[in-house]
Formats: sequence, C-alpha cells, structure tokens
Amino acid sequence: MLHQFYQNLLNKAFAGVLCTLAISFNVYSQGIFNNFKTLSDISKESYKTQIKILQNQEFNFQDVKDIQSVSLNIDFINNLLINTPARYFEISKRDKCTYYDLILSNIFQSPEGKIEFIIFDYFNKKSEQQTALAKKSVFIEKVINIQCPGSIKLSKYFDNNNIRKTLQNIKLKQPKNYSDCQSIINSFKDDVKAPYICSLLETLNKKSVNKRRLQSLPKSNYRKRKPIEQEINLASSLEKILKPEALKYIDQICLNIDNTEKFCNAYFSDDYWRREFISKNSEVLKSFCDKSDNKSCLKKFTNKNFCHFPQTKKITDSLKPWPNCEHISLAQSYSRLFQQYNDCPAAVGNNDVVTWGRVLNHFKGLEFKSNKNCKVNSTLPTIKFTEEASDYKSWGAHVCYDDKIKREEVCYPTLLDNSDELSDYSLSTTIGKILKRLKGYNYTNKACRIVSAERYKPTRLEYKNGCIILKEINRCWGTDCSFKVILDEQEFKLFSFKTKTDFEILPTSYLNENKSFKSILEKVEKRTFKRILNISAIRNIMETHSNAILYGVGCAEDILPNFFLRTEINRCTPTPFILDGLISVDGQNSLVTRTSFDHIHAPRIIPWMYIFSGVKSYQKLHPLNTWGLYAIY
Amino acid sequence: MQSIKYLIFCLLICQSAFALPELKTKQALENLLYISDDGKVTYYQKNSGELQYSFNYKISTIMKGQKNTRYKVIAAKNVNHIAIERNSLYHNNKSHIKQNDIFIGKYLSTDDPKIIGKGINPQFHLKGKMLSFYNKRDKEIKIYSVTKEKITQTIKLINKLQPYFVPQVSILTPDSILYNDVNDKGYEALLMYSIIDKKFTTIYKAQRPAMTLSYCVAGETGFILETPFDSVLSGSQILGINLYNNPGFKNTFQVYSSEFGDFPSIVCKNDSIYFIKTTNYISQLNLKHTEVARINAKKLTILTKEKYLTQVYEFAGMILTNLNGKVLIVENNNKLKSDEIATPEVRE
Repeated sequence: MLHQFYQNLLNKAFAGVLCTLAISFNVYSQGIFNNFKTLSDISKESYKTQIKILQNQEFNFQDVKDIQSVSLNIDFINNLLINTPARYFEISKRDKCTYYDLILSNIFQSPEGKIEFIIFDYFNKKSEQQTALAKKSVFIEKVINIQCPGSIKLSKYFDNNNIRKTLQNIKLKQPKNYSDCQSIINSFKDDVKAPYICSLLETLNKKSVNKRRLQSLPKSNYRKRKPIEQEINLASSLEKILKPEALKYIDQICLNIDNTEKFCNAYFSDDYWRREFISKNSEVLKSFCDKSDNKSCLKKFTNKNFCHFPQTKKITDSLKPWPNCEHISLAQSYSRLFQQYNDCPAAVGNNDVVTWGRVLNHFKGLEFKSNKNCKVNSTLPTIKFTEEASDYKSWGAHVCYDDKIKREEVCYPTLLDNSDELSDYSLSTTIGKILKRLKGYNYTNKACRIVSAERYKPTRLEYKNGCIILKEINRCWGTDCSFKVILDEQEFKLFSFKTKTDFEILPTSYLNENKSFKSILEKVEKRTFKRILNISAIRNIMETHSNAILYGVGCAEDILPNFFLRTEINRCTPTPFILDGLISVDGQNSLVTRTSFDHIHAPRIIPWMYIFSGVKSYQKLHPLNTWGLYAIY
Repeated sequence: MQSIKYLIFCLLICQSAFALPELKTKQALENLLYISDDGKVTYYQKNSGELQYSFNYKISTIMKGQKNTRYKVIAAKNVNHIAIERNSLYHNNKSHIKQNDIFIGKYLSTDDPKIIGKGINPQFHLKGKMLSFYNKRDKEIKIYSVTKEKITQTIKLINKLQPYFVPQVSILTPDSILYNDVNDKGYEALLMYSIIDKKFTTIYKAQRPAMTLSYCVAGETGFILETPFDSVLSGSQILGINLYNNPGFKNTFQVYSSEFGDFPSIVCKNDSIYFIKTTNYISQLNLKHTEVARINAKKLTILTKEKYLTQVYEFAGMILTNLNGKVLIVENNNKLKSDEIATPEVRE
C-alpha cells in the first residue's frame, strides 16, 4: 500500500490529468485525438517552461532540511504520466520507490523523451516548501541513493554489464491454468523487478526506431549517438539471451500488465495445443493423435470438429462425441486437475471408481505412476484406498476359494487386470495365490498371463504350459469380468469370482458415515471437504487453494441433457463429477467439468445452472437429503 | 422509500405470475413413480425399498426390495399390466453396466410381479401387448410378448462407438420395430426392423456425425428431431416421416428448422409436438437460452420463456419440465375430479 501522502499525490496527479482533459475537451473541435495531442503539446510546453525557470534558480542539496522528505513534484509527475504508456500506472501504485524504479528503468518518459532532469519538492532549512531541479544522475546519487538504495542496486543488475547473468537467474513462472495465470500476473505487478523487466521490452521494441535515429545522426555527434548505440546493443544482447517463448511471454505480460483477463485469455485460448505440443510427450495430445510429436498432429486442431471423434490406437472409451477443439482448449486453459495419464471411463464400468480414482490421482500428483492399461489408472488407486486406508474394506471384486484346512472361504480383493508393476491386487497375483495354495503353482516364478479368449489358441506351444487367464474382452470391464483360468491346458475351476459393488462415497445413512470414502479421506489423508452451495464459494475456493478441486454427484439428465433424456418424472442417473475451473462472462458462469462418463483429456464446459439443477435433483432422491457438492483440498 | 418497496413487491408478484407453476402432490414428489391420467391411481416407493400403490384410499405393497432401491413403473394403456424396473444399490453402485431387474405384473394387483429379464428402460407397445427393454451389457433390445409370456425377439445394436448410448424403441405393428443405432463413424440412424422378413431398413440417417436423433410417433407419422450433441456446432430440424405406405421412407417433410442446436427432447401428445427451442447460444460458456415450443397444425407456439430449460416429458397426462430441482408444469389439460370428501352439514 502506498503511503497516504504519496497516495494523495497520486490522486492529485490523476485529478490533474482528468481536469486537464476536461478543460481541453471541446465537442465542437476536431475530436479526442486532437485534444490529446493538444494536451501532449501543453504538457511539453509546461515542462519546458518549468525546466527553464528552475534551471535559472540556484539550488544546492545542502539547503535540503531532510533528504527523506524530498518528493517528486506533482506537475512533473503529471507530465511523466501523460508521456508514459498508461499500463504502467498499475506498477506505480505500489510505493514511493516504485516511482524511482520507473525512472531508473527509463519506463517513465518526459515530454522530451528520456528523462534528463528531475523536478522535485523539498523543505529548506526554514521549513519552507520549495521546488527545485536536478540532473537525473545527481538526483539518483543524492536522493534515491538515500531514500531507496535498493532501487539503485536493482538497476545495476539490469545494466549492460550484468544483464546476462541477471536474466539467467530470473525464472519466469509459466501459468498452468487461468487462475494460476491471474495469481502470476498479480505477483508480477508486486515484483520489484517488474519495471526493469518491462524496460527490456521497451528497449527491444525501440530497436528499429533507434537504428533509424542513429542513421540520421552525423557520426561526429558522439554525445547523442552513444546512448542510442548502447540501447541498440542492449536490444541485440537481449535477443540472444532470451528464447523466443520468453520474449513473447515478457511481451504479453508487460503489454497487458493492467489487464489480467486479456493477458490470460491471450496466453491460453489460442496456444493450448501448441503449448502441449512444445512440452513434448504430452499425455493429452496422445489422446488425439497417435504421433503426438508430429507437426501434422498440431495442424489437425485447426479443424474444430477434429476433436469429436479422434481416431487413435489408444483406448479412450468414454462419452462421445467429445467437445469441439476450441471448447477443450478453453476448458483445459482453466483446468487444474492432474491428468498426466490416460483413463477410459467406459472400460472401467463403474462411475464411482472412475471419479474417485481421479480425485486420488490428483492429490498424488507427480508421485502417481501411470499404467499402460488405462483401466488400472482408475481401479488401482481405488482398490488401494478401499483396502488399505481403513478397516472398512469395500472393494467389490474378489476371487475366492475354499480353504479346507481353515474350513472357510478365503477371498482376495482383485483387479481384473495387471498393473505395470505387478501389485498384490493384480489379477495374475490373486489367481496365482490361489493356484499356489491349491496346486502348489509357483506364481512368483511364472506369473499367470492374461490372454483374450478370441486370441487363445490351445494348440500353440506358448499356451501348453503354465497359467493362462482367458478373458472375454467384450464382457470385461475394470470392475467386472467374465474369465476362465487354464493351468497346464486344463481348466481350473476351484475358485469363484464374486462381484458386489457397494461403494459409500457419500454416506447414505448416519450409521455408515464413518465408512464413507469422504470420511476416510478426511481422516486418513487429512483432506478437507467443504460443502459448496454457490458460485461465490467456488470462486473463493479456486482463488485461495491452488490445488482444490470440487467433487459432486448429480443427475446426468440435468448435467448432460444432450446425452441423457429425462422421459419420466424422477428419472435420474446419478453421476459423479469433478469441477476444476470457473469461466465467467458478463456475470454468468460455467464450470470445467469431467463427469464420470467423460475422458479425462476432454473436459466439458457446463453452465453452473445445469450443475446446480443436477445436484439439487439428486439431493431430493438421496436418503439423507445430502447436498452432493464439495470442495476437496 | 415505501413506494419503492411496493414497486419491488409488485414486480415480484408479476414475475411469479409468468413463471411456470410447480407440480405439487399429496405425497413426496420424489417417491412418485406413476399417476394415472385421472389421478386416482398412484404407484410410489419408499426409502425402505418397498414399492406400493394407492387407490381408493387404500395402500397395497407390491414388492419389497433392499433399502435405497429405486424403481421405475410404467403402465400399459387399456391393458391390465405394469412393468417395473428395479435398481438395487441405486446410490452405491453407479455402474453403466449394471443390469436392473425387469418385472411384469398386473395393474392394481398385489400378486408378485414376474421377473422377465435384466436391463433398463422397459416400455409397453401395441396397447400393452408387447414390452421392450434394453440390455446394456450385451447391447441388445429385448422384445417380450405379454400374451406369450416370453422374449420373442432380440435385436443386437451395431454401435461400438458410444458406450453409453441407449436406443429409443417403438413397436409400430407386431411385425415392425423402430429403433435408433450408431455406426462406427458416428452417424446415428433410425431403423425399422421387420420381424417376418428379418430385414433392416433405414428410415432416416443423420446428415453428419455427432448429431443425435430422437423421435416420437403420432398416429402414422414419425417426427424426428435431429440435433447436435453438446459442443457440436450445428443447427437442428424436425422432420415428419409417414411410417406407412412410404416406400423407402423417402417421403419426408420438414416441420421445423433452426440455426441453433436444440436439446434432443421431444414429446408427441394428441396433435402437438413439444420440444425445447434454443434462442441464443453463448459459446464461451456453452450456454443455451431456451424456451418450450409447441407445434400444432404447422403453427409454432412458445409456451414459456423460462430461459434455461433443457428437457420436456410427459407424466400423468401433463407436459412437465425440470428446473433447479423443481418439477414445473408446462401444460396440463387434464380435468381432474376433486376427491375431497364433502363437508357434512352442521345441524343445530
């Protein structure tokens, strides 16, 4: 916050500018451009006059009672503001030293171009307020050096000698999504280096102008040529030091420093696919193109309809058609959900497992290890959660056998696939355990292989020995499957496969509250579940918790009315979903949504009122009348 | 200040006068499953898992299920049967491959309903003589003959592209079954299957992929609403097709068209078609401004200006819609007799 004195000064400056504009505004003259031109001329004239008067006055810094009380003259500030791009006013609001930073970095321009003289007010020994003029270099030494020594030091980091080293040490944070972008630009405005970084942009932009000026100056005019040559050299150095992406980033952030929305929209809307392409090995792009590192892949996104039914070898079983490329690009720009893996909701076969898997993977973040089998990316985190996080083991799929010694049925919770690194829950492992118990089969030496029933040819040598799990691919999902076990060419029948899915994600009775996934995640992983009732709460959560996502359950007939028809009263397909981005336009809001039917890389933009209706309709059918929308962080 | 308060009050009253009326029922709306057109018979469920009906002030239990089971009940018009879809573990097993139990029972009877198969979306056809339902797992339409008490026909869908697709089925005659399907390129089509000839005929194929077809049948005419899926940029149209005496189904007529993508909700009732018409689309929010429209004798009438409606459906003879969890009445032409008991005369 600016000191009140300087805030008042700034207010006066703005008022002065406005009054000057108002006075010079004339409806019957040639228009606003001409009026501004007039204002600019007036400013130049008044500046020249002021300089002339003050140059004739005698002044010595010895007359100043207290250097700390020296301040820039209000008319001088007025003139600087008129001649400086308005976007830098955003930076100038911070504190007194920021004014000096803007002077030192040459962002502030006088009516005559670069600032040569500084006009300031001070109190003399008799405590009388006076105005004086000093050369810029003298003012820096006598005043800025004492009032804001940090500014001097900072400016030296950005001079020709040190610029290369300084830039190597500056890390430009790339926004991952829209809300991240907003906080980055706000931090940039508060960054003391901002004026100096933006001055690099000004230097670069002026390079061609400077070259022309240099050409017009005689070679003998060394005094005028030297500073221009220095600027041109600096611009050339910057072009060598900074990569094109960094240059573009600085260009955008400084050009739009007073317009966060414009910066973030420009940064995200058009370039999402290109950013994914540049990032190399993008999991998202792999869902759209087989050769995601090929430039021809990038070109496909120019056709909006390309994204509806992307043809890839990757299994992307999910609700189709996907949104158009523009919508996916926009949604991804606001999205924050961890998605560096493939999932295939329809192939998993259970909506709770799909969405809960996404929640767990999101909070695991980069620790999460992706599996080649897309179903396992949803089922493995969920089975681990249900079996290891609490005593309420609720995973629905088990392989069982009769243990004649214990005289009881022994069951193992199981996936219906293998993870890349065989886990205790992989189907090969659980079947292997039963085979070891009943047939002495050493599954650790030779794990059971999973083969599709269509490809199985018993006459082939590779199928003669060992354990084979035959799956009917068309009747197999991540949570339910029809399969047989063949051991040494004989069908092994001494086991049973049981499936009964009964997941209590949100409690359906007060007795079951502790069993619910919500309760377990709160206690074991110390996550907060906050009930969300309206858009303001969503906005607040998104802004205050960078990793927060929203989990909800609502009727698909309200959330996805294009796909699920309501043909009778109370028809409701309960659909878990995740919200992880908020788009606002003219007071109306939509949310970046991944229902349990949608592919993780194809989020939808769904209006808030559809989400609200869906959650409200489901609430009415819920036994506890639960409002099923929570922020998790 | 007082006058401002009165003005605001009046504006609120005026606004509510133009809003759709909310459906109110004697018992909790969320438990209702079926109400007869005359309002005398109600099928409903309880949280305990019981399915009951009430008629003439008497309550009867038809079946008992697990707690938190949800049912769907449909009744055949003019015939004494009901079909029940029982969805156990409705809240705790949200699986698109889950198979619900399909029962058939007698209307207004406590006799145990008979289980006839597993699937979803039971529908009566041909005045209750045939029942269809859809087996999601095997992607098959099952046709059950109520008179023969067995499944007489199974139609397998070719759809492999859309895992959550559920066909809309109509049985026009004992020989012809109308349903929709999707090919591997994403084109949806309305097909007619002839049981006798064992032959499929395409009635109408969507003009491009990523369009959905929903339809209703009024007499001899089918009305097909062709609309784009979510986030697909395309217009919509309603086509009329004569389903009889129309070789190759080439004779079609356009009833309505729009540059905007409408929602795929369409209802035919009496001589009218009801649907949700989009009036504006904000792309950045994927938000449609809509109104409920009715087409009758080639005339389009707007029934409500509520902006954010997405579905219309028929229930108990009324045309209903939903908004913010409330059930609203778009149109109700039922003339119900009051069942209030007359207040006795007070004798002095």
